[in-house]
Amino acid sequence: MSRPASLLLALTGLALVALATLALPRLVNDYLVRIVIVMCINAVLVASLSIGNGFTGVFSLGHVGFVAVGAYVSGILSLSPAAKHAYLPELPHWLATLSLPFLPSTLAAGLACVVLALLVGAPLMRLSGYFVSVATLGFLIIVNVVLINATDFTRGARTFTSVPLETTLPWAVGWLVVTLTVLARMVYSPVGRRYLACREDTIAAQAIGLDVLPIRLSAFVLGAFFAGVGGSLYGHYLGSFSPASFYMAYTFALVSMLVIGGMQSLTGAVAGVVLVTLASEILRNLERGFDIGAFSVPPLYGASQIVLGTIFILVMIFRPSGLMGDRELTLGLLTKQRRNQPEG
Amino acid sequence: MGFTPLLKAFVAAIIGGFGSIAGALLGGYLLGALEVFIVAFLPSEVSPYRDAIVFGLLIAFLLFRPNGLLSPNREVKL
Repeated sequence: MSRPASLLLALTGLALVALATLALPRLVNDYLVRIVIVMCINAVLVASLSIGNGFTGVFSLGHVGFVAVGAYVSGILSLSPAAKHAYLPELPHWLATLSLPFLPSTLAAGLACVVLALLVGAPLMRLSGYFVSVATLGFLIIVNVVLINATDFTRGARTFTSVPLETTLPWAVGWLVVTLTVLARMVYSPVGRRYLACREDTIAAQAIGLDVLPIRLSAFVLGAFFAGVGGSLYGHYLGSFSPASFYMAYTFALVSMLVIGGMQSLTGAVAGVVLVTLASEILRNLERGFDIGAFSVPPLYGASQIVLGTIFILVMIFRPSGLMGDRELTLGLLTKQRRNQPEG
Repeated sequence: MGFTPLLKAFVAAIIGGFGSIAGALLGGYLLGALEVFIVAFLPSEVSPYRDAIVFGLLIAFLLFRPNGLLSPNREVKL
């Protein structure tokens, strides 16, 4: 496709997304709008997880650590001075008087995660296989312990509250579009092919002159930036959260969405989020009991978890590389085909 | 529930040396002693960070002695 045509197509797509975003709150009720917001936030997080875990082959379990850092950094920055005085009286003076709007605090959260990812990733990206998973899990635990104990900044294990509720549907959709655009541009570029080369065969990648460490580190840092952004969105969506909100349960939720959707595809990341969220919402409503004709099913609380787990197992048996595998759903043409064509 | 002990067991196994029973025993004792020493001898401000120290140690081990204490130090393969 020629450049103006693809640009036109992209603009049309953006316009459609914008239209849908504006129309949705008028068409459906508040509950569904909130589900869509959560889906968008989770899609940002899972897509940013896929760039490290799926495309670069560094299976990190510490992604939620960055989400937590993002939520807390942006929360501290955007809390009003009065709320800071009430809840965080021990803050240093320059922080106590500072109160940033939503966008700057979100960007600051992303940048804080970039700095942290550079520090943590520089040593950890030397590891491979399950070693890197365990080490990043250690990072998650360290973040959790520090958040619980840095009471001057985070209120410790108590709930960090009265963060302004800023994450509306346009913000969430907007950040999702930005995330997917940036990640797709990265992954389907020469840089992205280096990621794939490092994943497929590290030794062969080194043999053709690729330096594995900086390549892995760049993917890790890029993922961490969007994790921080997603954390900020999540924090400003919930309004109050605690270190326990960003721990093992959330890690495994995100990882299972990624694995169900397909680790090597951005479409798969989004599909996994949509599928898991919808399935768990539908099952949660069915759990309260329902009627089929003359039969009535009694409420079975907790059954939705069992059904969800069974669905995950079935998906893994019949589609071991996730629903999408390594295929992408693009505007009318599959990226696989485009890859085989000469550049031009 | 029970997740933290599982992780601690994993840390002990890595410190001692994966695949070596003597190493697992040694790692377990070392880890237990370390946790108690942190609480007993270091100032009380440090003791809440016990888990962070343990997992920091795990990361250090993975980086510098990925085979643990009781196995020969082999070249780390990327």
